[in-house]
Amino acid sequence: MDPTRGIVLTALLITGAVMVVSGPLVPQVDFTSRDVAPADGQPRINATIQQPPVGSFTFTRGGYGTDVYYLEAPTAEIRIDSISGSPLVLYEIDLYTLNRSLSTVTFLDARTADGTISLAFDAPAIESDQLQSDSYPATVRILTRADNRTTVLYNTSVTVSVRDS
Amino acid sequence: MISPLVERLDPLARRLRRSVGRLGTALFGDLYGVVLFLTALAVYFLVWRVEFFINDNWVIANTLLAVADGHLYIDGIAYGNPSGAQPGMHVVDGRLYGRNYGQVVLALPAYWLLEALLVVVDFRILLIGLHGVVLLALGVYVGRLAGREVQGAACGAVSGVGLLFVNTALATGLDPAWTALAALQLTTMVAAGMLGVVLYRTFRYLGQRRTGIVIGLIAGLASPIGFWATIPKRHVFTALAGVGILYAFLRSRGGGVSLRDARRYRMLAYAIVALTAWINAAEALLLLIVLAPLDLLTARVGSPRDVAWPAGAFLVALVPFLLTNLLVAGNPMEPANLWPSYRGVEPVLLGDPSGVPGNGGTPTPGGTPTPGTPAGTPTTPGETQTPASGPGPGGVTPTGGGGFSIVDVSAVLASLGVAFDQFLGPITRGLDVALGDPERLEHIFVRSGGLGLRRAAYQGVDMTLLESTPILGALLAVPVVVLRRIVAFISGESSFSVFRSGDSSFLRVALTPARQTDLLAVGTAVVFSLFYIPRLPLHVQVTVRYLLPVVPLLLYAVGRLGAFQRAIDRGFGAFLWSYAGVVLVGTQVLLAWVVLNDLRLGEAVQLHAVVNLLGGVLLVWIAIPERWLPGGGTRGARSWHASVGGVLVGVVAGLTTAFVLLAAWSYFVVDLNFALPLVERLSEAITIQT
Repeated sequence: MDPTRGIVLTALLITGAVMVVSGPLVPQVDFTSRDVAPADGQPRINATIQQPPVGSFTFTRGGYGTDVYYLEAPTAEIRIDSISGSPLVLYEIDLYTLNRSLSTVTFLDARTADGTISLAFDAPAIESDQLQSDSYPATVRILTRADNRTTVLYNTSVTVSVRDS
Repeated sequence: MISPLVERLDPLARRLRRSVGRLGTALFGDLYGVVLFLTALAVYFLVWRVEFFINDNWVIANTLLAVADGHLYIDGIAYGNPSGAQPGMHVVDGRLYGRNYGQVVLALPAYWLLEALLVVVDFRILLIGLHGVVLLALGVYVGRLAGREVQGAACGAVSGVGLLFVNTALATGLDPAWTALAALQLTTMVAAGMLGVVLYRTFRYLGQRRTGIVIGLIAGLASPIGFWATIPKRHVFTALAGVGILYAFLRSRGGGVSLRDARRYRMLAYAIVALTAWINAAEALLLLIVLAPLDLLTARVGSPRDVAWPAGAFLVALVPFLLTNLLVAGNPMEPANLWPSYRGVEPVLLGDPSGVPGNGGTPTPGGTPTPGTPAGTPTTPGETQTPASGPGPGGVTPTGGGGFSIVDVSAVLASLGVAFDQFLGPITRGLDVALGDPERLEHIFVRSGGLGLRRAAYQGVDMTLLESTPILGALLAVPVVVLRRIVAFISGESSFSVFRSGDSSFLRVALTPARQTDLLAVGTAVVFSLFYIPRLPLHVQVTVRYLLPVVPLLLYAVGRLGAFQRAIDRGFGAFLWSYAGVVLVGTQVLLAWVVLNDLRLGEAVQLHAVVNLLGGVLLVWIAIPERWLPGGGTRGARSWHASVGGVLVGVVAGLTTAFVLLAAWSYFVVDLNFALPLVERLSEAITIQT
């Protein structure tokens, strides 16, 4: 047989075999068993602040002619004492004089079972024409939400300064 | 054991191979076309995310499920906002309808194929396996092109099967509920791949094979087409229609074509326009108002019979569009974008209508009223403009026992009027902007950042046309060339001709088939731009996606530049090496810069914008006359000039491909739901902050 055809047929046979074995015809084999199992149980979380977000909160102008400002905030750490289901953690900075609230949501599940997790603040930019003053008062909150139950872990007032460089 | 079986099947296999070969030639032209297509497809798999990038796609996926079920109305919301209040959702007679029905019907074969394969194959492994088969085929055809069949097949087999194993080892489950979206995405990928092939074939027909390969490659992988190839919006399809018409138009006028074939190609061009209307009526009209006058003015024969054939093809191909409108709105001339928008408050019926079994979703002859809908269904327009004079739904519902005998003629005329209003309005406004607002033009076409963006301020992620397709910088050569030609013409040295051509008389030059095709490309690009300028700059465009159909037309213009063709002809190797180098190494350098400097999404996009812009401007090099170089006029200077040109084109194309890859892997990451698990792992490691 022509070697090219042999190679092609062999490759196709292997591919076909892997595909068929993966499917419902061969229920004993499951290549995708590494699925993230849906977290069981009612969403519930018990957490405390380990490392509060202390440091500078700034609006920093984006580079490369972006003409937007990014809100930069210190990273926080929370300690999870118990968890079930898939609750979420919210790191929120409420700029009430701007009528804007920026936040980062972290979804948790059983894999983040215990120990501490760090929460980096990562939120969309804000348009430059929205910022008129040099600084803005803000409320920083870190809270957990599970099954419509919100627990505030941290709540403080800060001043966000606008940096142009 | 396999061999004897194969020998037995040989006659059958030969016959099959012959028909496959014929089909392949019809679609791809030749082996280069096949390789271009497979290369594009192989790369699209790497950036394929089975998730919604833009919420406009919800309604398209829901429409596909409806049409696959055998009806036009949407009776279940499988994707997106469960209330059904989604961008592009329409409500007529208490029924929800989607849009882009032509695009949806194109995706049906892929949907059925996926559904059929899912009976025996796991969804994730199916996508992985498909990628492996594409790689195998690519190896085989590259090998055949290079005259090294065995090595090519071996490379394809090793990479295809190897990645199959690696990806399978990393595989996680993929919910089969995504099938409709995946089918739409696959279809869009195929369309994007074909777009490059059609451009290649256009240049091959003009005797410029190398230019065709380069432009075809750039269109598929180094232009915004690559960015939108895995995002099933209409733009890739209407862009494909644009180049399809261009190719058919050229072939209908080319030398060595029998009158009968010429007529067939003309019919094809008009049929494409008509089918485009089924996807988006306004864009089809844009294509038609340039094609029709140009075609009639330059046709080889102008007898009534020669007009009748294309007109007939147009009308026949328009039937699906007219029928869809008739079935939904009761008015064949009222396309989807004129149907009332659904805002989630109007009473609608989801689930099967009772008492209308097997009705297939069409309004029942005999005027069966849709249950639960008052006669005066609210028709308040949402973001789309509904004609004030438009028919109230129900008013023109077909009556009588036998079909759609009664169509309200005045309503048809009214919607025609509205269509033209909606159509000519933007074009005149576009002209106003083009002539009176240079700053806005700059934000659309040249530089997006740094100048106090207007509506486009969001995140700074919206690039201009030149920033997203920097290869168009080669068009900077046009004024230079024109100037040189004028000087030469005045001094009596040469005739006037911007583009390369063997013809010497101005009149004949103006009338060559290639020139007529140039006019079609430029005319369509201008009309498209004028139509959309009043709405631009706009957010979530990323690459001025409204102007996506303009991109391949302008790439055609680039390829038509004599200076570009010379650079590619003599610097083809330089192009290939620099392109491969920049894609393989430059992508990593850019990524390293973005990650090490902790750039945010908007900054990363604007970094690409600035780099692309610089690269694009450098392309003016190809227009610099060789004799200005040291040692000018000699063979050495010529090849040096061309090599630098080839390198520049390769670098600029490579930078654009780098954006296509990094945008998917690192910048615009939504849910990390890549088709290929290996890519997902990579992306996990390099996703940047928003």
